[in-house]
Amino acid sequence: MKRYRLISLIGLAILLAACSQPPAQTHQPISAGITVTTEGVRHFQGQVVVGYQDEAALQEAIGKLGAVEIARIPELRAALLQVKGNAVKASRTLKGLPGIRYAEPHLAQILPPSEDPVEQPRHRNEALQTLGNPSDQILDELPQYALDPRHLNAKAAWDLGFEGEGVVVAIIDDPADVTHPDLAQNWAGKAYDPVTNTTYTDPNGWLSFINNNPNLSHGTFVASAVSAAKDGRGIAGLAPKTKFLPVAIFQPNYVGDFYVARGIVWAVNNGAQVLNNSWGGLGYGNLVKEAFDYALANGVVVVASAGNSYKDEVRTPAGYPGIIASAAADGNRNKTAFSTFGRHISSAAPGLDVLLANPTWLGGGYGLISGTSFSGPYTAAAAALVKAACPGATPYQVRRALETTTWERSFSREKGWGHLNVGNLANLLSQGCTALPAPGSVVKIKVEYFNENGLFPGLFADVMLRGKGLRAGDSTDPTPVYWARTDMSGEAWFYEIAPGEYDIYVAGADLSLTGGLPEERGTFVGTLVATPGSSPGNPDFKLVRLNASEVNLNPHDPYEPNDNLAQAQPLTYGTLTQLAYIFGQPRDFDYFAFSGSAGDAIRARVYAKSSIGGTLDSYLYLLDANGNVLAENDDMVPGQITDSEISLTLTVTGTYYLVVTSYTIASSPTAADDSPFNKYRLELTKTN
Amino acid sequence: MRLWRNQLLKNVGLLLLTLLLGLSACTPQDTLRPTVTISQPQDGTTVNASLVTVQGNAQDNIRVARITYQINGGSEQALNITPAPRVDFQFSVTLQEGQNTITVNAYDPSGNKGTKTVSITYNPQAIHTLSGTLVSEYAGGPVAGSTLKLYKEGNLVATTQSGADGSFTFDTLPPGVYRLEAQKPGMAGSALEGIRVPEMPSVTLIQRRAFDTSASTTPPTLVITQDGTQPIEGETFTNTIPFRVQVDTTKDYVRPMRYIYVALGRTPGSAFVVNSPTWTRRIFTDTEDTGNQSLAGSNVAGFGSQTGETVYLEVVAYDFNENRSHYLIPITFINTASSQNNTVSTPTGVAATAITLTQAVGFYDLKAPARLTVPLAKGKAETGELTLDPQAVPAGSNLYVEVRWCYTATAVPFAFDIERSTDGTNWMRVGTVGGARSSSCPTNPFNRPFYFRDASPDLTPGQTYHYRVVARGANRAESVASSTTPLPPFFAPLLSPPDESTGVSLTPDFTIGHPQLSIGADGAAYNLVLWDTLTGDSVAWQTLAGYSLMVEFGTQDNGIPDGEAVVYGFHPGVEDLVVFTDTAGLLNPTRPNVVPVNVSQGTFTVPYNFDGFAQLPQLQTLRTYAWQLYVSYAYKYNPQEGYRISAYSVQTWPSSTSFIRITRPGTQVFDFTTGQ
Repeated sequence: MKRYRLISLIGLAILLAACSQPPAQTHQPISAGITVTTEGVRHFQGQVVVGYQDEAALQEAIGKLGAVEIARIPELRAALLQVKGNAVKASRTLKGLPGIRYAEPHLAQILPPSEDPVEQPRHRNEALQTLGNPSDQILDELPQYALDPRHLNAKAAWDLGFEGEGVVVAIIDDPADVTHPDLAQNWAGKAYDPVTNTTYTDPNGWLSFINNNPNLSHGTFVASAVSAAKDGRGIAGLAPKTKFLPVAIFQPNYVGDFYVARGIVWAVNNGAQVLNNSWGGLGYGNLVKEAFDYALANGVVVVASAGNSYKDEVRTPAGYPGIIASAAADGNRNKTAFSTFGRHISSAAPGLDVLLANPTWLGGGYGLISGTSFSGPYTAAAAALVKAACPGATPYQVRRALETTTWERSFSREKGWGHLNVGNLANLLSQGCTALPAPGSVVKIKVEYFNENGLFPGLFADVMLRGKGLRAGDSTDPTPVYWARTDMSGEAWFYEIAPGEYDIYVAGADLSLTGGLPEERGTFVGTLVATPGSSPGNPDFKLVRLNASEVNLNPHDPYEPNDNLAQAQPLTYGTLTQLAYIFGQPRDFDYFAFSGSAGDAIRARVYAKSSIGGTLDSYLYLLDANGNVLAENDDMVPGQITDSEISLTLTVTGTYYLVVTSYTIASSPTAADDSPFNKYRLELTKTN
Repeated sequence: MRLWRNQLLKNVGLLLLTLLLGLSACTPQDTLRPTVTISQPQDGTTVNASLVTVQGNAQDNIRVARITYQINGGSEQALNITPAPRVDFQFSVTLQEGQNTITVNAYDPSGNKGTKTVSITYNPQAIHTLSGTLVSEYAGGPVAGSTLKLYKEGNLVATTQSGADGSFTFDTLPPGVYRLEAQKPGMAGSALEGIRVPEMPSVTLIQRRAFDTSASTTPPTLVITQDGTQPIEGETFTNTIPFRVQVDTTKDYVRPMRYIYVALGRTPGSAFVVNSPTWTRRIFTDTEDTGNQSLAGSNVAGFGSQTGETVYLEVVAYDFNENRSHYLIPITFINTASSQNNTVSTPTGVAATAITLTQAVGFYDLKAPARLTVPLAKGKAETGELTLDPQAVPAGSNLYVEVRWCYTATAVPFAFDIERSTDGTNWMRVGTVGGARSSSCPTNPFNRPFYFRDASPDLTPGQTYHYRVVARGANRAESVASSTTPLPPFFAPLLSPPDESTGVSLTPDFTIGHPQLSIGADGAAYNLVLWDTLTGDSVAWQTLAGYSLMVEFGTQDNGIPDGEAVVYGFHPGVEDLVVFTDTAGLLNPTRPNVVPVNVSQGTFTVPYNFDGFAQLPQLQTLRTYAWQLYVSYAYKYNPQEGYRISAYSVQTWPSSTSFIRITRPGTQVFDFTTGQ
């Protein structure tokens, strides 16, 4: 026994919860809000993102929540609302409204680069000259191994005339320095703050927006990897004649999915042909996915860094269909230890100790920096070389042009199709645009639920496309897998994916959202052919009908209104109510009345989440005729069976009331819990 | 035509005749010289005895007729041989002190002469040995097969290769100051300048992987002075040592410079490995010139004496290609700290804990290991010079011993010496840090205020090491010793459900390899996380809501019989320790089997939601999930010290603030898709 007492303190130390980040507070005047973590979801306090069908639906949603509209993205029919209470719960409430495509808390699952330890810049002040460095590493002034003939092989492409001229690359990041001597001449002339919806055209205005914030530097390093001018000073970007378009989604904290989506749409609408995204996180978010779909539908290439997690895993946005995911390589063209990797990786580029531009507000000059954050923009720059040569190239063609011209030209999960070589790419481009690889596919899956009640849109469904012949666990198998979720109209889109034959798996509404029972989730397994050249206007289309419970976002409670003593619905011994809901208002209390005699042993039991599914963690009160609480119960078995039960022997003959609500409401006088999935049944029995 | 042909034939005939005559005329004319090879002694070697045996052979196309030798160009002395096409010879000569030449001449029957000369230095003082270990990083694995060149006063005096364990030895070295260089394809260059023979019988050389194998591997050349002009070597300093380190930019190296480290008394490097709360080193990043600087205060704590003692100033520099220069500079250091007069007490709470990291950190810079957290102070300390022991740290991993202690007495020591022993009797100092006191002495050894991380390259898994801490003031006060036995690297593989599998149960069993017994550990701690992030945005399940699940198969030291197992952990729902599996009924006579084990196969199986902490009672159909070990480390008890855990082997660990204070985030991740 003595050994077990030793179970070390260390071993027992609780770990940081994997699911949640500590709330990060901000005191920046330009802040998008305060992030909080509720139910494991990091989001902006009191902010809800709503996708709407039409203005009327949006207004109804606003009215229902008593919310204030903060901002809107018309292209995505999405609005950001400020609510008073809990955004996670409020977003559930909104799901009850017709004409609402989705509603989710304003997600903030992405960490700002300052919290990503791989990306510590190291700053140099004095100029560098070559010495032991091979002379071919000097492309401008300072040694850049990343661009030399043994790595990206930049000069070979430039010498053939491929320098990215005429292409605008959006740097969706923290605000890039448009005044850095190596960047100023390649600024696209606009920069965007999506939070205030402000487009800056004056460098000084942009600088005052940045306000010398020492935590903003990442975007400048990133921009210089793409667009630093080849002017005999400092460094050169890989596409030194591109223009860069800054979009500030870290200020310095993450501004949230809504503003990211708005920034993406702004960039597309302002001429970006390539979007660089040196950021990411875990988890699926409808809004950002839709924003990237908007870009892809407009022929815009989307590049994302794979992540710095050291793991074989899919992070977002790198894992969304149609996005080019970049892994970071070291000086020997091997994957760096920290780089995230996996089946979804497209290619690798230098991401270890690359020399890039340091913002002027931090002293200017140049610094060494590491991360997939920098392999990403080199990849975006390579994409820009293609777009400059062949403006009509589709995002999938651009991706394949990069993938088929790498050093290795073979697939591994570590580096995708290999380490980029733009000299090889230039040789391909020299053959003209007709020599580009074949275009990809656009697939649209429409899901519907049918059951005895009729046909319903297949919302919150999982759709997975798994390439035929996939060799599970084989690290050299390039067969793709794509995931998407249907929106509130039941559609899942896969833009710019590999043509070919797929197994398609579809399953109905996400039970963790709807709280449904497992058997309510219908499934479909079939095949789908994605044809090359299918397009947003003419996608490969598949309709999938699941025999599944519809997601009833506006359920009928037969006992409402029963919100007070006067409205209490009668109940007799031996009765089990029909399905009822804690729903329709932020703080719903459902009242039931029964007559009891002194000496009656009664048992009142709520059947909710633990027994019939749904989202209701019930709470039950027993009141006397005057409304005084005689008994109350939260959980039948604390922490395990969250349904409620009261057993009591009555001492007085008269009227009694049972009141059902949610634990959330019962536990706080201001909390709201209003969900169409808050379902329950109440049973009253006399046990003697 | 016919005539012409006859003429031609006749001419050919003449030509043939001429050729035949010519050949016969050449036959006796042998102009090929014999070749002479001297296999022993090798050219340029130094010997410490005057009598030297010379061995070799002479060869000739006809035969070797005669062999002579000369010493220092003197007269030819004939050797007694039997003529033959190859003649092996051996003879002894007596050398003069200093440099000698030995020439061997061979003659063939035609009088052709072949000759070979070697230079040999006879130095009666060349009786010393320099040995060492070549490692890839602090606390890192060996570098095998690297070419090591030893220079003295600019001349190459010996060459060797590092062995499989990274070890190397040079012998018959005369006293002097040496420079050692290592070169190996794929690796950066490394140089150690200022090795004193015989004062330093053993050295550690770090040779890192080249950042870019196509770039120069010449280590940077440093100019180390007090202020840019005044020399520093051999000078005497009191309490403060001024210095300036400049890279000689006329010499080869790869720009930009990464780091310049400066320290007194030990080799500086990564803060995590070498820092101590009471001793610090200096670091300069991205510069070719430190400017005028000084070492004082915590940089010099614990070193020097009131009368002055010889201490080495150590400077380490890395250029962009990871080429490394390491300079050892002797100075005389006077430390006037009054704590040298204190009568000190013994340090208490000494606990030595070995940490093996399955994935090497790449100690020294910021990015590879993510963030390194040093809780109490900054600074550094490296190990002294230690004797060799084959095996050492397995390649690709790290191994160090963290020694922590308390000192609560009032009299502050001048220094703490950290000493190590393999037998508990013979002790050797592995490091010194400044003395200090602290009234706190936490129960958890990892939180004790003073520490030293021993990253000696010879630390070997399976070998037991004893550590003690000696407080030094006017007296020496030795602590009680603490022992640890390092573990080999640990890796618990994910087995089932396999990566990218489909049709997986909605309540899957997660089977994991548990190689506890094969590495000699007493148990392992795990935390399994199931992500629902492909189409969801949350954690579907984290075992025990983040607390570790302990799996112990029976060993001598965990008190569980052979072949039996106990699985337990803190359950935050019941707020107590719960025994989930107890095959022998040691703790729970009902022999629970909630987390099944297979002791003979070395696996255990975690049934979905066995703890009730999953988000849903079962997984959703046709949905893709990803699972991983968020925590995985093996541990070993020390029965002699109250069953304290004295060794960890860490596969993955997510926190930089608790426990070992380094995140090791890399871990296997398997995704799977549930069935219908």
